[in-house]
Amino acid sequence: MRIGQLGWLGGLGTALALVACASAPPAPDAAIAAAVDAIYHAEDARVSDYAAQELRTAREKLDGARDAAQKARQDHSAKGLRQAQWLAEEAQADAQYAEAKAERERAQAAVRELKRSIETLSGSDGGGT
Amino acid sequence: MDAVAPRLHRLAALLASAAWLNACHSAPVKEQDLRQARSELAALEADPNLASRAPEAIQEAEAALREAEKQPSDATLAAHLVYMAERKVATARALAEARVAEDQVQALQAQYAPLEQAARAKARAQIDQREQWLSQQLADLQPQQTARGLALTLGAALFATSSGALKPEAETRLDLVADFLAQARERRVAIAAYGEGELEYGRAQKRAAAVKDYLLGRGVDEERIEVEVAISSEAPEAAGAPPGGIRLLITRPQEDDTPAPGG
Repeated sequence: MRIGQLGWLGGLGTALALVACASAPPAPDAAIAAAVDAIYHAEDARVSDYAAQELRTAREKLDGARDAAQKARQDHSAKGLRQAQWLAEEAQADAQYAEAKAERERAQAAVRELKRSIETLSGSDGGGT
Repeated sequence: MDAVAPRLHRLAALLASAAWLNACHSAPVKEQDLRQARSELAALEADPNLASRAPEAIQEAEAALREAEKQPSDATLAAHLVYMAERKVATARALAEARVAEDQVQALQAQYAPLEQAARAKARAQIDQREQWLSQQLADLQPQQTARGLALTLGAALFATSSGALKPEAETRLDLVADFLAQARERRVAIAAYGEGELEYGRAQKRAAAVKDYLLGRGVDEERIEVEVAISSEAPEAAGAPPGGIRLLITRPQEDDTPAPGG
C-alpha cells in the first residue's frame, strides 16, 4: 500500500484498522451520483405533485450523504464514509419509491376521472333530456 | 465550510432517527420489521394481478430483503439493510399497482372515446338542427347566406311612395323577421339603405326608420338593431340594398360570444 505517499490514505488505513466490525470502506461517490440521478429522474416525472414528502426525504438524505462524505474525508473516517454510502443508497431508494408512488397516484387519479366522465356521459345518454 | 455546519445538524438528526447511534454495537435487528417486509413481499408475489407487473422491482426487493435477512452484527448496517428492503418492497408494490391502473386507464379510454364522440355528435346535430329550423322560418323571404349572416331585401315597392310607410306586405315579411329574432336571441339585425341626392337620402332614412320602428313594435330590443343609411350605392354599408329599398342583414353571433346552443 502507498500509505507513505498519501497522508490521508494512511489515516484512512488507520481508521480502518481501528473500526473493529468494519468491512472495506466503500467510496460513497458512486452512490451519491446514483442518488442524484434518481432524484433528478423523479423531479422530471413531476413526482412532487403526488409524493412530495418522499421526495423531500430523499433530498435530505442526499444532503446528509454529501455532508457525511465531506466530514468523513476531513476526519479520515472509514465509518463516516460507509454511513455516507448508506445514506446515499437510501436517498436513491426513497427517490425511486417516490417516483413509483407518484406513478400509481397519477394513474389511479386518471382512472377515477375517466370513470366519472364515463358515468356522466352514459347518464346523459340514458336519462331523458 | 460554514455552510456545512447546519447541514451536519440535519445529518445528526437523520442518523439519530435511523437509529444509527450505536454503530458497531450488536443490537437486535428489528426482526419484526423484517418479518413484516417479508410477508408484504410474499403477498405481492402471490397476487396474480400484481406479481407479473413489476418483475424487476420484485427481484430487487427480494435481493434487498435477502441481504437484510442475513442480519449483520453491525446494527447500523442491519438497520440500513432493513430500510432498503422495506423501501424496495414498497416500490415494487407501487410500481405493480401503477401498471395495473395504467392498464385500467387504457381500457377506460377505449370505453370513453366512443361515448365522447357520440356526445359531441349529438351536440353538433342539435346545433345543425336549430340552424336549419331557423333558416326555414325565413324561407319565404328567400334569404341569402352571406359570410356575416342571412341577408334579405325589401324592395321599393313594399313602401308607400310618398311617406315611406310600410305596406302590409312589408309588415308580413317583417313579422317573420321579428319572429325569427325572437327565436334567435343571440342574433342582431342591421338595416341598410342608401339614397343618392338629398331627396332620395331622406326617403331612404324614412324607410329604414319605418322598418326599425316596426321591429321595435314587434318586441325586438333596440340594442339589437343597427341602422345604416349611405349616400351612395357604392358605400360598403349599403351593399346589397335595392334602389329605394332596404336590406336586412341578420348577423350571426361572433365566435367568441356565442351563447350556449339550444337555449
